[in-house]
Amino acid sequence: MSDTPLIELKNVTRLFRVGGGIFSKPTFIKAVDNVSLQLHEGETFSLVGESGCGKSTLGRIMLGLLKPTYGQVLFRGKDIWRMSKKEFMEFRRNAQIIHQDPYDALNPMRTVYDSLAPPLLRYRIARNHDEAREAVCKLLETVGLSPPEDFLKRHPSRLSGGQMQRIAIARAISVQPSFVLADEAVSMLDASLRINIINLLLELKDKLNMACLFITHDIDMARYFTRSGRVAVMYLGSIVELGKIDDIIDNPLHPYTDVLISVTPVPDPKVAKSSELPPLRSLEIPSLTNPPSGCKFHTRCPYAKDICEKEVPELREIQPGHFVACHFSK
Amino acid sequence: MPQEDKPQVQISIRGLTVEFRVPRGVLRAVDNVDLDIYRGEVLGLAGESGCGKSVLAHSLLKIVDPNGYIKSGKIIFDNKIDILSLSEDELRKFRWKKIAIVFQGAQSALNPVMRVQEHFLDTFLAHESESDKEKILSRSADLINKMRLDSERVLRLFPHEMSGGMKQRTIAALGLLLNPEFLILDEPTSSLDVLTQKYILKLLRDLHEQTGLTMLFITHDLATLAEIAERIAVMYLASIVEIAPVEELFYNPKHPYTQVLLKALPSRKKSIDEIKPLPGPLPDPVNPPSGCKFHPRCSYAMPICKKVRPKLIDLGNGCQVACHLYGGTKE
Repeated sequence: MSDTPLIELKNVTRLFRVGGGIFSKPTFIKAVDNVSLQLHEGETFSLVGESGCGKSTLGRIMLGLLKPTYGQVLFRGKDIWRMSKKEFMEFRRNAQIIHQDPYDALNPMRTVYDSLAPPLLRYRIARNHDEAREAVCKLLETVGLSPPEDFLKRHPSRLSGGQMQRIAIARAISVQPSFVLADEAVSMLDASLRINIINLLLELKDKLNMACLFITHDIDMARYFTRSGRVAVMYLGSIVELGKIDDIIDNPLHPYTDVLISVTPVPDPKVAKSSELPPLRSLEIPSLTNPPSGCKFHTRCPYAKDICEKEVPELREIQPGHFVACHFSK
Repeated sequence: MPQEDKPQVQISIRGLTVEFRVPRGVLRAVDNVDLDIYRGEVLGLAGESGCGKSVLAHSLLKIVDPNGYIKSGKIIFDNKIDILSLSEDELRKFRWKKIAIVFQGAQSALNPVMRVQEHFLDTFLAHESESDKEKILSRSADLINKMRLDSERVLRLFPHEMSGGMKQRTIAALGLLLNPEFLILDEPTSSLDVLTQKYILKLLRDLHEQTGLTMLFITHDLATLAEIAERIAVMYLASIVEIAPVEELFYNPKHPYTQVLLKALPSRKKSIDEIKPLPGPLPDPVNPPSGCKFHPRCSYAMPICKKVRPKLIDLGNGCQVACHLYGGTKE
């Protein structure tokens, strides 16, 4: 690992305005609340949490698609929101995204070639259409779509979900990024296809030495993707636990992480049929417009005490490399 | 679990074939399927997208997309009702009262400009002559409460005011409105996150325990079936390749396709190396492979697999498999 992180978030907070008109006062929700994070070159990292916990917002901030309300985003040590236009464009080339829904991510009116060629031409990776065609064919082979000539002229309507996701991956890696964000990139796919797509991503990551951030609600998927890397668990905009994936699965220190692990389905009928619901005090996730005071998890936490209502727990290093934001972790 | 005394067949499907006209020819979505569903069981129907599992389930209500048609076969309900020969009028009375369905994609199954209570009223009035609004609403409220939602509030909400989990539970309640004997659940949990998914599975399990309602649970995710199903049928390219009690299917899978499906499931109980991707690409469903449709992807393929389509054979213990490895190729 080099000393300067590839991407660093420093106390990033993002507010969104909801409601409010000409006469009524708007309210703000904190989608991301004071998050600091470092992602290194070539690292695999997973971000895990329920829907609405702010994990996708955080991802979009890391890509420079959203500006944080407070805090800084550094790319190789440089604040991306103070970059010159040229530097920012270079950063955008370096940070790519694979969207959740391959059906929405590709323009239905464009053929595969028309989706893949423009970025190559724009960033001068190919100088003309002949070179672009050759590069696109190579890309298609890289993502396992062969023979590539078969796919060049196809429209998305003639591709399966897995094939579309492969095209989306091809597009993301086409501009030789150093960072790829996979935002629930496999959750729309068949359970049986997910492993194939993750394997492809991991293979490309090694080959191109990219850092990969994987956003998911499924901790087993995160484990398969992350391997020896790190994972952060998010709850209502904050990171509640951070560490090596195996440490977190074997020894979850935050009660919320424990819940997330316990509800992930186990493909074993004896275990699954005897499993109980987690001892949560409430199923519904609290509203972001009026988040709970103190530790945001206290309204659902089975172990909550008085202090949890009053004080916000800090993210502390409990074991080497294993951080937790809970008053009771030791 | 199937009871000791002989389980009663509630739905019997014989030789069902459903085809679709597509620009490139004819796509056979369900290919000569035989299946018995027993009263009071939870049967899981698993397979990759496009394998025909939803088409098969929709046929139970004689619902087929406009470009499709039921080519042949019989579906008998309760030993007496021949579903495929019912007229539109008879079907209206049959659907929802005998067999109800919770469609895939809860997010879009509700009308965005109607409040929840109007959905309940509409559904009831479309199938029953009862017109006492209060009665219908109190029954609706009961069902919604059963799903652990606050009926007072939920009945007055518009779909956009609810979260995905709330919508999914509301739709399940709607499916139960006319007290059906058979409930089809088409991917009821796939678009939800793990926590909500867990709660909905638990609700359905409790509901099954309390009412003994027969359920057909369709999903591409075998892991969810481990939790809810008693028996599982696995489909591959329009055919059923294996039927087995849930524990038998998970601990002792017979068909090579079931075996690779299970290996592709990630789980923290397995080491990373035990998790294997599916081999080869899914063949074109318009021109499926000859013989056993799985043979191009199968690591045990023999010469016969290319030529002869294997039939479902009974291996005892409630297990059936369509694979030449288990014999039964005389025909």
